[in-house]
This record gives sequence, structure tokens and C-alpha cells, in this order.
Amino acid sequence: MGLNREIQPIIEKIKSLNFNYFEHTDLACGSPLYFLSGGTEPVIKLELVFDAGKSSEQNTSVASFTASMMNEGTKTRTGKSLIDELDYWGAHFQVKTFNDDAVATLYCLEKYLDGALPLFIEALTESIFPEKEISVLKRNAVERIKINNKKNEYICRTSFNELIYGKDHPLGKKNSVENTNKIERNELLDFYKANYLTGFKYAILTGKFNPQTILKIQSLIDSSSLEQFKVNNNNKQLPNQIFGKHQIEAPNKSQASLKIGKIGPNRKDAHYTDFQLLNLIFGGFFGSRLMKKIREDLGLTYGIHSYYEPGQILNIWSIEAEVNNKNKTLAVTEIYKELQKISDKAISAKEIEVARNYLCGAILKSLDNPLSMSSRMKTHIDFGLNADYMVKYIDEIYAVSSDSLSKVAAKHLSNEHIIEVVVS
Amino acid sequence: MIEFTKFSLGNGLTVIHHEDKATELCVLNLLYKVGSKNEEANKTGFAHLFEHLMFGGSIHIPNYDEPLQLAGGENNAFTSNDITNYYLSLPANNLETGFWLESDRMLGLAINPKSLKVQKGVVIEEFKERYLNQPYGDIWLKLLPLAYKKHPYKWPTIGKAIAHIKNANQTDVNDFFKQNYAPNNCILVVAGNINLEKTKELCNKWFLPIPSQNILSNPLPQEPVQRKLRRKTVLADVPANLIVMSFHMDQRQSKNFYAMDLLSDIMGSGKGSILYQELIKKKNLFSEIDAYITADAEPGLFIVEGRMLPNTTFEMAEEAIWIVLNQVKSKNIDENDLKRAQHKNETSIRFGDINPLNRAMKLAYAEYLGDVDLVNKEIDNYLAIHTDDIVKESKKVFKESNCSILSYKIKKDGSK
Repeated sequence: MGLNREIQPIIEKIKSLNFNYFEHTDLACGSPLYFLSGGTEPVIKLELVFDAGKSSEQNTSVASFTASMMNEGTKTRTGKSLIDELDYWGAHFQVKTFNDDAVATLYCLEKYLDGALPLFIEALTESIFPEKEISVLKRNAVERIKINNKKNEYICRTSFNELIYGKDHPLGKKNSVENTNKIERNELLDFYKANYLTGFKYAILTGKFNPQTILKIQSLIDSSSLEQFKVNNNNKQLPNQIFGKHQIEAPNKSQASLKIGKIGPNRKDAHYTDFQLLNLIFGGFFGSRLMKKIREDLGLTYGIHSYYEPGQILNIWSIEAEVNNKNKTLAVTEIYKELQKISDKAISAKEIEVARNYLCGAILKSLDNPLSMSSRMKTHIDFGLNADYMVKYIDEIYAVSSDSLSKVAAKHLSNEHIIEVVVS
Repeated sequence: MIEFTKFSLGNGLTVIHHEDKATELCVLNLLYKVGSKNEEANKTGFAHLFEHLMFGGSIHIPNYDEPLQLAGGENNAFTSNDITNYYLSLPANNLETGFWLESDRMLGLAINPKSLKVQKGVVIEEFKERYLNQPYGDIWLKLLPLAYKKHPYKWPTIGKAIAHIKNANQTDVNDFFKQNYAPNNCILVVAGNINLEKTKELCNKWFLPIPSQNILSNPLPQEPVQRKLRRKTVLADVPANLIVMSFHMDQRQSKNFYAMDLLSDIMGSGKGSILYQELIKKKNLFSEIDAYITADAEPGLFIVEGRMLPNTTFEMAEEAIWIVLNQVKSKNIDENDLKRAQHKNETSIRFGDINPLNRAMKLAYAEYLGDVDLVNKEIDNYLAIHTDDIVKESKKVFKESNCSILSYKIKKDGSK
């Protein structure tokens, strides 16, 4: 019996989604604690989400500076002793700033949670923002800005943001050495009080843990000074786009950096799933048209991708790449040709099948371990998705057709209102 | 505890099976025992270029990626000094596609002149993107030939120069494949929602028919003991001066390796570390400073790397780092510092083990190092280290004669 190596083994549809919906309990302040236990390793990931994103800041870097100051000392501990004690329990935390919110995450083993958890809560609720540490932070941030300004990719991305949000919008404003030097302690303290202490939105607990752990976390947060975030509609500024093509002189000439994009549909749009798949086919995975053309056919780049990022303020769809400087015009021309093609010509059933199956596999993977589950949970919470959403989503993916994709492409991937930035 | 079963096929392929019923996925990890250290000095960057060519189609299958994506799978690969590692994950019910793809490209490649030309272009862009297109990106291109004189670790995985990649031809590629890609030069890990029986069945079906090859294992030139301090200064368009000090250290399997790994954490990991506290906060000399080890299979490097503030001179920077290193050598390391580093290590190992793919990679690499049980012994290996071990070893390592210093200097206008 010979082995036929030319024929691919039979492929099956995804049988089931390993998606146990998460539960929640309400904390005393009114904010919910969402939780889901699973996996094999006795680890804990606890996230506290605050209305402290970049879009809430008045001056550049205030949000990220405030986040960085959280481990620089509390009423009873210096920054050093806080970190030493956490290290002793093998735990660490970080506070990350995103466009729409900020997330403080504690990572630790369940067996050391009793030691680590009070320190984490103390860091978030009793930070004192010492002047000396602020000046060290400023000094180091200034050095980092100088380095970033030597990177084509950084210049390209920040210039794109400036164009799509507007230069006065918190998400569009460029960072500078002058602005960083001007940051004052009072500004940070104000942001801390308004956006952390009274800006607590919800908590997410994942990993493998027993029910006592939930109670412990609940009682510790309940006895802290955290207050629930109250929706405040008037502090978010509206964006203001400048479309068109923009060429910027690069500090480094070895490659050209480019970003081309526009506003995409929002998360609740009826064509959301179609657009997801369309983006995938266009530039969203290794088998995409952009990768095939610009990398695999022309060899002009190490990687080219398109991204679809639905946000609370804008839903941005964009293409990013570092390309061969000599042939940058060819690369840009080919990108626009692909854009034209995807709107003009029907996408084949085979191409849709590959992207669809790949996407289903990727979803399965994103539900595979408790830590990646937490980002899935966050999407559900932020966009108010139901428990049966995932099942429906898979059905929707299977319902996508060549026709529906063409319609969405014509509507959302046209040449109109494009912002193009080339740093070379 | 990571449970596994190890067996081998008649053609010399080593297989490690690791079952995890909690996942809906399966993983294949293929570690080929070839890295940039196995390259010839005038054909560097080859192992990595070859990794790219492995996706250009095999004897019976013109395209690698598409059938995998059709089966809902994802894949990637990386090349290091020591190995080339390929991995994929799939929904468990579609795993056989993975066996089909991986066995066919182990059997043989179908590289044509066009795919060779394109992949050379892609790798050259990768070279630029990672090493040339950012400030300090070429540190490894400068540091490694300073620290290593004989051992092939003296060039980075990407290669010594773009010209080596440009010059690669079809004959080189064919030879390289025959030399290195064979069942008896590979470790296969099958992990996820699959039982041992099924694993054996699929391995026998797809991999057993592949003939073994005569693998030449030329002994690598050993690095002679360094006898005196080495220095190199690089002028570049960078915003701040940077100093890198590197020291030769003991091999991966020795107790000393674990001691120095912990020391690199104590010295350089995070805001609580010695270097951060002493040189950033107390002495105000650096804007960033870090200590780490290269963690190669053969004797690697312990590295201290610091980006200096505008008023810090290279002399001040170097002196300040030596003061810290000498303190480590002369004073005992604080017991609590060690405990913290050990606990942090345990946490990071446990978090790493969450993902079946990580477990598969760890199993393959431990087997490559010669002891697959290492996956379950590492936490204890770290816990077994005492402060004395660290002090003793640091006395051997932190000597001026064992040190190579790279000074990365701001190029002023007009200078070359």
C-alpha cells in the first residue's frame, strides 16, 4: 500500500468551541469582578481596568507617566521595598496604558497570592508620586524619545496618528522632549485621582484558582479606596482627519517605513464579520494578498500587514510595512493595485475558505489557555457581547460569501479618504 | 509536571509525545540540529536563509502555508546559533495535515531559482529591518566578533554581512539540505489533544518511510580562554552613548549556568535590581541598564549593557559598572536577593508552561541539550543555587582579562 503524498488528508470543520462563559460578582463599589478558572498551571492573572487611557489625558504622556509611577512608592513603602516584597513572592505587576483605558495586571502563583495581592492593591490605591522618582522617570523618558525619533517606523506611526486624530487630539498629539520636561507632579496626581482612584471600571481574574481566591480578592478590593468609574461623556475630544499623501524625511535610509489607512466600520456594524475576513484576505495573515505580492512575489519586505482596530473613538484600518527604500514607489503602487483589485474582482471560494478556516483555527487558539482567554473576555465586556456571541460569530464566518465581501470592499476599501504616510 | 513519552523510529527520528486533554489543539514541533554555528565562515546566515526556503514548497506539495491555513492551522519557525526550530498548531481533528506537510519537506524540497531569489530579497530586508534600520541595531554584528575569536558564535544568526546572503546559490542550498535535514538530525514533539497510539500511528505512516542520512558532525572550533581585555569603539548616528561589557561564562548544562542566570536577574532585571538602584537612581549615570545572559547551548556570554545619560563619560560608566561587579565578587550576595530571583524564576517558568506550544518547544530543546527530563528539573536546578555558588563563579567570570567592551559612541558632524 503506497502512501500518496500528493493529496492533503481530509479536513474537518471545527467541532466545538472550548468556550466556557465567564461569571461575575459585584464588588462593594459597584464595579464587577469577572472570573474564569481553567488550565493546568496554578497561576493567577488579575487585571484591574481603569478609565485612564491616553484618550483621557490633557497633555501628552500624562497617562503613561501616571501608570509608570504606580510602583514608585506608597504611604508606607518606598518603591524599592514594594518591588522587593513583590519579587519575594515571585510576583510582578505592570500598568499599561492603551488608547481607551489603562490595565493594571498582577501575575503570580496562587500559592503566593496572600503575600502579593495586598501589595498590588496598595500600589494602585496609595501611590504618593515622589518628586525625585518623577524626575528620574522624566530624564529616562527624554532619552527614549530621542531614540524613537531616530526610528522611521515610530515617526511613521505617530505622524499617521496625528493625521487621523488631529494634532490637538490626545491620540494624535506628538510626544516631545519639551512636553515631557514640562510634566508636573500635580498634573499626575490629578490624573491619578480622577482616572484611577475614582475611575475603576472592572476587574478580570483568570488562571487556575479555587473559590476562596475570588473571595480574598473581593474583600481586598472592597476594603480599598477604589471608586467605580462614572460615565462622563464630555471629556473625550472629537477627532479631526487630514486625508492625503504625506512624505517625511527619514533619519535612517536603509528602509522606507509606510502606513496607509482609513476609517473602518465599527464593532457593531452589520458587516463587522465580513470586514474581519476581508482584512484577513487582504493583509491580515501570512497567506494574505499583500504578503504574497510584496513579500513572496517581489521580495520587497520582511513583512507587510493590514490591521483592523475597532476602538472607542475611531475604528482604524491600516497597512504597515518596512520596505526596500530603492523600490518604495513600486511597493506603494502595488499596494494600491491590490486595493483596487479587491474591490473590483470577486474573491474566489477557495480564497475565502482558506481565510475562514484559518480564522476559525485562530479563534480556537485564542480560547486555548486561561491567559489568552482574558483578552477575549475583555472584548466581550467592553463591547457588551452576549454569552452566545462566539457561537453566532462562527456561524457568521461560515455565512460570508464572495458577494457580501465585494459589497463591503466597495464600501470600506475604496480609494477615498485615505491617509498615506511614507518615511524615507 | 510535564508528562511525556519518548521513542524513536527506525530511521533515527526522535519523537516525544505529550498529551494534554484540556486543549482542542495539537502541536507539532520539529527541531533540526543545525544553527548558525554549523555554517562555514564564508557562508554565514545560511541556516536562517534556509529556514525561509523551507516554506517554498516541497517534493509533493507546491505550497506549504495554504493547506495548513485551510486546515485551520498556524505555523512559524526560528533559527538560533544552535538550532532551527519549526512549529505549527492545528485543531486536533486536522492534525494529520501537519504530519503530511512536515514529513514531505523533510523528504525533500522543491526550491526553484525564483523562490531562492525572492527569499534572499526577503532575508536582506529582514537584515536591514532588524539590524540596520534602528539605532544600536547592529550591536551583535559588532560585539560577537570581539568576544569570540575562534568559535562560530562569532557571527550572528542573520549572518556576518548581506553579501553572504546575496551570494547563496542553488548548489549551496541543495548541499545544506542534504547535510542537515534528515530524520536522524531532528527531534519531533507531538503535543496536545492526541494519545500515544495515534501519535505512533501517524509517525510511522508519514515519517518512517523517510530514509536517514549520513550526518557529518564536524567538531566545532573551541573558543580559547581569553587572556586580556578587548575593546572596540563604534561611531554611529545614535542619540546617546552606550556601553556593552561581555564576559565568557560556563556552559548551559553546568550548575554555574544557573548561578549566573540568577545573578543576571539580581543585577539587571527591573527597578529593584542592583544596577538600576545603584547606577540609575543613586549615581545618575544611565537612562537604562540591563544584565543578561545569551543562554546558548555552548559556553555563552554574560552581558551588561547600559545607555548613558548626556553627562556620563565612558570612563565613568565603565568604572561604575566595575564597582558593582566587584561588590558582587567580594561581598556575599544578599540571601533575600537570591530568594527573590528564584521565586521570580519559578513564576515565569509556570506561566510559560501554560501554553501547549511552549511545552512542546521546551521538550524539544531539553532533548537537544541531552536531557529531556530537564523540563521538570529546571525549577529545582534554580532553587539549588546558594549565594556562595554565585560569588564563587562571579570571581571567575568578572575578570578584566575575560571582558570585551564595546563602546557605542555618538558620531559628531564631520567625524567619520
